[in-house]
Amino acid sequence: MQQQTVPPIPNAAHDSPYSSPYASPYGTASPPPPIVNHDASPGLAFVLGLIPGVGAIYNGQYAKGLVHVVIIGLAISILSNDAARGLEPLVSLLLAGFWFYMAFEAYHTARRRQLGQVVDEFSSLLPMHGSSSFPVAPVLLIVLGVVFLLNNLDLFHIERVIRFWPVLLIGLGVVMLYGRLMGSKGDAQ
Amino acid sequence: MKRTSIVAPLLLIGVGVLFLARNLYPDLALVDYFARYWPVLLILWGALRLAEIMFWSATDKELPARGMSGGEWILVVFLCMVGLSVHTVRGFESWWPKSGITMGGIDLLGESFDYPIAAEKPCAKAPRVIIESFRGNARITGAEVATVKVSGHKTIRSMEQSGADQANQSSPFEISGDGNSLTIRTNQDHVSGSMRISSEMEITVPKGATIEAHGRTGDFDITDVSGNVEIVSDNAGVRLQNIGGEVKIDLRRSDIVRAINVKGPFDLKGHGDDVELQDMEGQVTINGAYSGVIQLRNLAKPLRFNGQQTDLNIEKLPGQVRMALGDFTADNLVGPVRLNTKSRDVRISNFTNSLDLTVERGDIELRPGKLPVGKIDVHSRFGDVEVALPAAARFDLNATTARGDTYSDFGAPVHTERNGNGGSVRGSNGGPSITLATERGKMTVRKASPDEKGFEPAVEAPEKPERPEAPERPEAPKAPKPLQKVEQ
Amino acid sequence: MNPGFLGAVRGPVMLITLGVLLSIDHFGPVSFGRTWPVLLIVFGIFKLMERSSARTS
Repeated sequence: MQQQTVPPIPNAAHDSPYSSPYASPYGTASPPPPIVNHDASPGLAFVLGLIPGVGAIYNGQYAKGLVHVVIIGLAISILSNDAARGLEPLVSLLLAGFWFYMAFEAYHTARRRQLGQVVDEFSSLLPMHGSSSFPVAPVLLIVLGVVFLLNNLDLFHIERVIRFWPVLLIGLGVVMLYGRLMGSKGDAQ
Repeated sequence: MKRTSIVAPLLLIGVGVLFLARNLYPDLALVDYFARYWPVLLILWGALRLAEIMFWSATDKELPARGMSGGEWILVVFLCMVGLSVHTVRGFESWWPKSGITMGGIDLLGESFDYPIAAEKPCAKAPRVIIESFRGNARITGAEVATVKVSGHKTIRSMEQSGADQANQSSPFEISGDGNSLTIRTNQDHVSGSMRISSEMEITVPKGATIEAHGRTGDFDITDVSGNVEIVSDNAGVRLQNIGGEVKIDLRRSDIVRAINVKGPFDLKGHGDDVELQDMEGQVTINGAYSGVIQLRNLAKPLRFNGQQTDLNIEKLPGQVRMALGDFTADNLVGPVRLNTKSRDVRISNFTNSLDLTVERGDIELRPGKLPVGKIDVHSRFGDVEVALPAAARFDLNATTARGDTYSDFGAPVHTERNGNGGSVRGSNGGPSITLATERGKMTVRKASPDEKGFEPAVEAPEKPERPEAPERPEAPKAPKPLQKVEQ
Repeated sequence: MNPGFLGAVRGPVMLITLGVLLSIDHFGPVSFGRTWPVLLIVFGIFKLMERSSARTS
């Protein structure tokens, strides 16, 4: 909790760095007191979050709701169109995982709104802004994009590599493990 | 103070103005421009926002955290859906479950008005009948007549009757030309925004006619014509039966191409969904991307098929071939047969002469069936290979797998060897060479049992081509009347 | 370029990329069904640039 000291009332005779008696010493106005949003019910958010997109809409994040619908729709159409030969287990896993992520994420966002925190349009449970020193998400995106592009242009065939998808799970586990071990070491100090 | 973008509201206003203008002045061809150039609209929008942001950054205004707001992205998605529904994106509509949106055009406004079409013109015994580009379905039937006769109706979408009447006046239906070459014109393009006019035509022509048809959207159903048939369309279902001449079809998009009993060569190219050919007496050439089920049956001459991921050449097909996504089944072929495909399970039975098969990924099962067995070359990267040879067959066998089990029913001189993770089955009793190779999969060479049947490609015999709901049957032609200009 | 600028520019550039890919589909040889991964790549590149410029600033 920050100490809020009351600035001495400037005397016109003194050399005051402040031009007006009402200027705050901190330069910017202090943020308005948080408004607790009692309307946000995390439980309801969770339930609604099980319907694609509705969880985010409940939290007022319309674009994110759209993104959720698109992702679920894509996953379902990939599964039903036989577009991912042999990848069905992976896509099904991702679909199921993402579905529950939607619900949990809606829950957490509603919680934060309830506590009065400001929520971004694209808030998320996963660390979106690079907590580790290695930029995992951007590199992953670029790699995925390049791989799919080469596959589409018939320059490289995904089928050769796709058998190794469980390596991603393993890698994810390793990264998380490493992060936690490092984190716990940091806390100990 | 944070700056808010003015681009999104401007765009919204712009779109609203466009729609309003289209409603008030149905003559403007705005929707056509939109249909063609909507992706450019996205680029412009992005460029405007980009320019705005760079301007703000140059004048040191505070930049928004995100270049495009959530609401703007929703507008983008809405624009894409509308744009896609008006002008389909290749390779996208078969992939996205919302297939309802991509069919048809914008049918949101106005109501339909129908106007009858009728015209008739005498002609020679074997005229060239040209159907100019139009939107709508056409059914063409050859008969013992000496005229080209058209009946049917025109459907115009408009906000009110007078607009429709006017559009009807400016698009008079006519048959022009003389004796040997007649052109059927719907003149739909005289009405701007012509996507709102569509014509249904029943056309009767002399049996010996040659048909040249151009379409934008709409089906062609042609029966009993002994001349040549040529069809070019942006989007058409084609059903042909009993054609005596050569057939050439070029479709940007189609749901079905079906031909039964064509005497001349058959050439199909473009993109489509299903293809069904039966009883074709001429050479069959197919070039293009067909994402549905391809069924071929009884082709008397060579077949050349160049698909997106599959190349197929067969010398003669007394039996049938069926290709669906990931699957290839064929029975009763006369070789040389060459099949090169990327990702399919392949099953071929009862083939003679040589077979050359290359599969990137898929299981292969072959049953040559008849003796003598011809030369066989099979190469697969990922997939099991199983070949059932008659016990009395003569061959020079070299079957290898780089990684997988091997199995053989045959005794000496055929012997099996293991080689690390793979193995081979080799042996010769004096016959043509059979080379089977897979990089990863099980290799099985077994004796075919005498009553083993061929593969049933599970072809539903194409029944009589279902005709689209027949409005009226063309009446028996009376004595040829002098040409009547269509009274609208 | 500071990360705030990059973050703000990213949206419009993605939109332009989308428009270009769709235009190529309509008027050019390759269908959008094959070129869509470009969007992933562009997005990833932007994120990378933002990340690295955030670290240097």
